[in-house]
Amino acid sequence: MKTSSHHLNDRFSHIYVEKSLLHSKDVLTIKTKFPKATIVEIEHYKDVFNRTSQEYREQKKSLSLILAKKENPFLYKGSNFSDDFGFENFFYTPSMLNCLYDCEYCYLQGMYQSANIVLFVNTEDFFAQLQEHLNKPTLVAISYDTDLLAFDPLNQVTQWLNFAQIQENMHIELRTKSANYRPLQKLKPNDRVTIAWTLSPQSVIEKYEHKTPSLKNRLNAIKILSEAGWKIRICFDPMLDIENFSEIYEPFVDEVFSEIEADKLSQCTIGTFRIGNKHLKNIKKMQHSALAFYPYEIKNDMALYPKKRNTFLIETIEKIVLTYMSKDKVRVWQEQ
Amino acid sequence: MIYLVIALLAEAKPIIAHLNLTKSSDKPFKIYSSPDYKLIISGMGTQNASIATAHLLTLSPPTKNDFLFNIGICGAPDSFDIGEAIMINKISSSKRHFYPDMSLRHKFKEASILTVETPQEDKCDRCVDMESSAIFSTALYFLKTGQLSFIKVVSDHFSSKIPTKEDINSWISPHLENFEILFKNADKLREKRPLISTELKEKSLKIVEKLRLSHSQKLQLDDALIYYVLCNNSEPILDIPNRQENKLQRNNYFEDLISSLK
Repeated sequence: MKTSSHHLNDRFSHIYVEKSLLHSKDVLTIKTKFPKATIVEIEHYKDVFNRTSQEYREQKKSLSLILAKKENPFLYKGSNFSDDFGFENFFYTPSMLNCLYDCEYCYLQGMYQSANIVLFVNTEDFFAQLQEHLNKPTLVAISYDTDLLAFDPLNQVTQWLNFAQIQENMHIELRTKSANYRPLQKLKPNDRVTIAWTLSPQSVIEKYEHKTPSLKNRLNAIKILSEAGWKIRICFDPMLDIENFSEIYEPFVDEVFSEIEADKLSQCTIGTFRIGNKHLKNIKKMQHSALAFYPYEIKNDMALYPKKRNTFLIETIEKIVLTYMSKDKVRVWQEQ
Repeated sequence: MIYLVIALLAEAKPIIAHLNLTKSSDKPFKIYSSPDYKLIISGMGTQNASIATAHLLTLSPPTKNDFLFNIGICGAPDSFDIGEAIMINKISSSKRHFYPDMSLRHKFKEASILTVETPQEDKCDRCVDMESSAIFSTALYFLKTGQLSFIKVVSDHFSSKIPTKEDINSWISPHLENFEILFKNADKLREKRPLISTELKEKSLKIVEKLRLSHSQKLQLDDALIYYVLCNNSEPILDIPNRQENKLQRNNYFEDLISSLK
């Protein structure tokens, strides 16, 4: 039986704020953006976010926001599940924990006990720590355990891009499924900033990428920003091994390239769904998505599609992509 | 099931009458029940509240569909009216803070509360009671943070005057309709059908037995069944296999069964 949503509080009806931040400028900004929200004073974000006995799926139906000050460390080494694009220095920054969207394959479900969103307000501390590494080319993924462009009440994307503008060794990767191109439209395009847009067929979006913008709206955002001169990477990643894979994914790739000029794209990445086995086990406990119960192969503690099937999925799409883009612009995610 | 933990009989009486509950136990704690509710009178203070909560939830173990409410009177600052009902969004004790999930929509004002060991006569900047933190921390052994809710009705602005039964009745009674709506909404919110029916579970156990499946094969079968149900939104029709002569036959049967569920 479906839950009656009118018995639930609206998203961000409650905002938990660390005591030390209660009167800060950022919190006042948030209060004006969510004027009906009840503010609950907390000592430390972990008192709420890391509580025992939480239910991720239930909380996802009525998200709360937690405003906090991040403590050291502010940078983390990029994971093996991600492409480092050849950068020796590859970090990700957790400016925010969790995401507004609700993709059934998302590892965040298996990573945190809570679905509530933690927003760290002290962006300047992230910058200070990053500065120590900027003596050589450094890639920073700023939208890693979240989708920063989808929910950015403090304009952190703009703050990051402005910082990157003056740091010559700093390269930014901004991953998103959002259709929110406006913050970037206001800024000068920067060659060292790549916006990585995850694209999926509309039927996959409807079935598995809940609360995300439609393919049409994502393509529209890409078109606007690529024409404005921003570096865009489109990501057919993660591709899902669904029934009628070829019938769904092949026309989808053609649709993408009929809407966007391939020449205006900096890169295309192709990859199939993969997830850490520990996260997969946690997601299975929720018994929420069929994707968690696919008979994956477990290799080096990573759940992957069976090799033969994986090769088929990749090659099917790579073949079509290569009719639009040259090989040097196409990256295929390979197991490390 | 809705569980209600209430410190005093005087606080519970209007609720017992409103929900038509009947006494089902007298000792060690008075419990009043109906098919949808179980209400326990804990007595005052953290120790009583903790033991009563554990007793109730052990006697009748909750499921994921259940919800626990603590209702009672509290002292509050002047900014709250006497008789006003408050939904608690933060509970503090001398050592810790607790936060119930605030997903349930309600009509009450919200506030935080401090749980103390003895009646509070000194002015305080927040609501004060003598049970909430103990009920929360004990209930978490049985329930999730989203299955707990605390409602307090203001009885005084930190005075030493002991309220009469009539006073308490007059503060609680005006909220009974809203309490009941909240109980019913909580019940609906948590109502869930299990993904795998008992019948399918039993069948799969019989298959495990007949095919003498190993533990890892059993887990594989469980996963395949859930995968099938989530993909198809219906349960597969499973045949119980006849006795298979040897291990090879049993394994072949098992592999075919798993393939049929993909």
